[in-house]
Amino acid sequence: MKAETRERIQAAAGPPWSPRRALLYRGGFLATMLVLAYLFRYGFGLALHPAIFLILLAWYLTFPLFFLWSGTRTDSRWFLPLRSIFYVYEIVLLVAAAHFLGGVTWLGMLLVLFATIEWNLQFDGGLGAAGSLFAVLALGALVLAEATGVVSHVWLFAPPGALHRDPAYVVSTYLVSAFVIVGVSLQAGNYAGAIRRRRLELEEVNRRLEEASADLRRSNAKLEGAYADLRAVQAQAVQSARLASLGMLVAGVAHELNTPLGAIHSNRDTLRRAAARLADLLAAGRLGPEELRQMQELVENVAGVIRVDDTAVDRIVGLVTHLRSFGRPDEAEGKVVDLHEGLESTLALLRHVIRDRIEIRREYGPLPAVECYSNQINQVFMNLLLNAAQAIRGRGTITLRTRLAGAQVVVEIEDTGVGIAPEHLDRIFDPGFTTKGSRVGMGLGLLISHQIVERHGGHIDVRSEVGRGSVFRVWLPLRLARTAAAPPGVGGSTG
Amino acid sequence: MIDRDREVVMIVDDEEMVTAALERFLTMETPYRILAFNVPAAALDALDSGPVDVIVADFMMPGMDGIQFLTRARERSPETTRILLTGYADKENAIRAINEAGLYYYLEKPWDNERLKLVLRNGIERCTLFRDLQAQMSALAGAHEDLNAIRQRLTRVFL
Repeated sequence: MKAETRERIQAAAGPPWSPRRALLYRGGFLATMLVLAYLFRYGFGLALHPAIFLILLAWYLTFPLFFLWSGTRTDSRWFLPLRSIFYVYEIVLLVAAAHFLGGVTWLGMLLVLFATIEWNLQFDGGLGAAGSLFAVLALGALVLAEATGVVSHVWLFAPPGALHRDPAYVVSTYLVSAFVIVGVSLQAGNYAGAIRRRRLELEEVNRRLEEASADLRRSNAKLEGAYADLRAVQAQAVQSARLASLGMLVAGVAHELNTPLGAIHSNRDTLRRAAARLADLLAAGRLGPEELRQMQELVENVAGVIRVDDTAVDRIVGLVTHLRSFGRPDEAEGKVVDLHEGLESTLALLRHVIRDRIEIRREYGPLPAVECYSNQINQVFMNLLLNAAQAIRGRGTITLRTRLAGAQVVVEIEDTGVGIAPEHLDRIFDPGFTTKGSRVGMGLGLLISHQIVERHGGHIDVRSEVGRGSVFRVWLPLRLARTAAAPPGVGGSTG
Repeated sequence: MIDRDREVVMIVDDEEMVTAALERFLTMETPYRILAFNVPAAALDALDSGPVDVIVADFMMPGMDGIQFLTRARERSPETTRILLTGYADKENAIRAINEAGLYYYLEKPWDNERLKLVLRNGIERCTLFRDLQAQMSALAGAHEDLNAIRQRLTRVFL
């Protein structure tokens, strides 16, 4: 038996009503029989053959018990044959009961209807019709046997009379009974079949729905897991991005410091040597015109060296001042600052990236002082300027524009770089999105900038054209919202 | 115009404080004539107007980087010793410098003056030897030509 066929049969095998109901149904019938027997016995003085009780008891005991038992064995391969045998058994038993309940009279005949209806409810179609036919034939056999005298009549519900000896009456009664039995049972079978098929379809649909919802639940759980992972990774990445940006800043500053320090380092040695020579000349005691000329040269040299040192020290002081605007981590309160200073500090620290490769154009508008966490806003400038510088292959221009727009300030950073493809434009603020390749950055710079600006109550927008360049605009409110209790806790540029 | 008694050292760095510091130190401590430039292109032009013994060039410069500059300097004045003085030391650039510019020495910022002096002296010596060798080679070639001429004359006389 194919798995699918068995599945269908087993699904169909469930009784159209529950075994408990079948039991009650038959019990009710049995009780009615007993009440009738009592009425006939004591009300009308008619005798009831004891065999009818034995037969009905056997029917009541065996059939519902079997029904209950087989209901738990629907997955057995013997289920259908066993149930068929029991239906045949029931019909035979009921035909026998019909004999004791009056033979060809109505009541006895219709008893068989219970069995055939149930049979048809179980198996509609050909098998059901066969069951009905079997019942009708069995009844026919009973009628024939009674008519020919093979079995004796039991006159019970129909009083013996001329009618019962008339073959036309007997045959016509039988035919009407047979017609009713077949018609009603087949019709019941049809309805049951339709209901069963509908139920199977419903079950199938239900099963699919459940599968789909199980799939949905599974993928949902997976998504939730993935999302949690992503959050963890992102938090970690933001942390390492801060470190990476710190590293980048340190590298840039170290490089910028190297030049003035190199000069000072050399000049210190030059000064020491000059001092030693002057001391030698003085120690010699005799100061002729040649010695004086040498001394004058040395003093001139020393003055020159000191001038170089002045420049170098100024450069270092400037760098450190700029650096300090980045260095204050997590200021507790916002400060009122000049954003132009922040831009200039950032440019100073990015000098090694910009060099002469990129021309910086400043189109600063009159800007009032802005209340913000200046170190974090400088990090935003750092990210945006670094991106702009890295977007420019070869030579190009970065234009910085600032203006006041109502209660907001706008800082615009425009580059003449490679631009951002339209399909990437929606994703540039996503974590991990980068077009620079894994060696350049971690793809978190814009995300962090976005977060910083958003926590200031502002926003960043972007316009870009491939091959022409990009414009990033930072909108910041003039005053921090007082509700922003904690200072934004992210920072760092990642490029 | 050219003082042939003094060796010429060319310093090229876009940072004036570096060229100034080097110039101050070298004029005081060495007899060399110092040519300092802050723009590489100007330095290249100056190479045409007179022999230079040693060039000390920065790596990160506007216009052209130190390696490009030294490569062009090599085309104009092959005998000049080339030294890179850089605050941006990485292996890749060092290899590039040696292969492309025929680098003699790679100095890192901040530099040590004593070491710089030593490297410059050696570089000048190398350049001088190079020039001597060329002079001798051309002298040899001249002598060879003279000999040839004499041989031809002799041949003509005897035949």
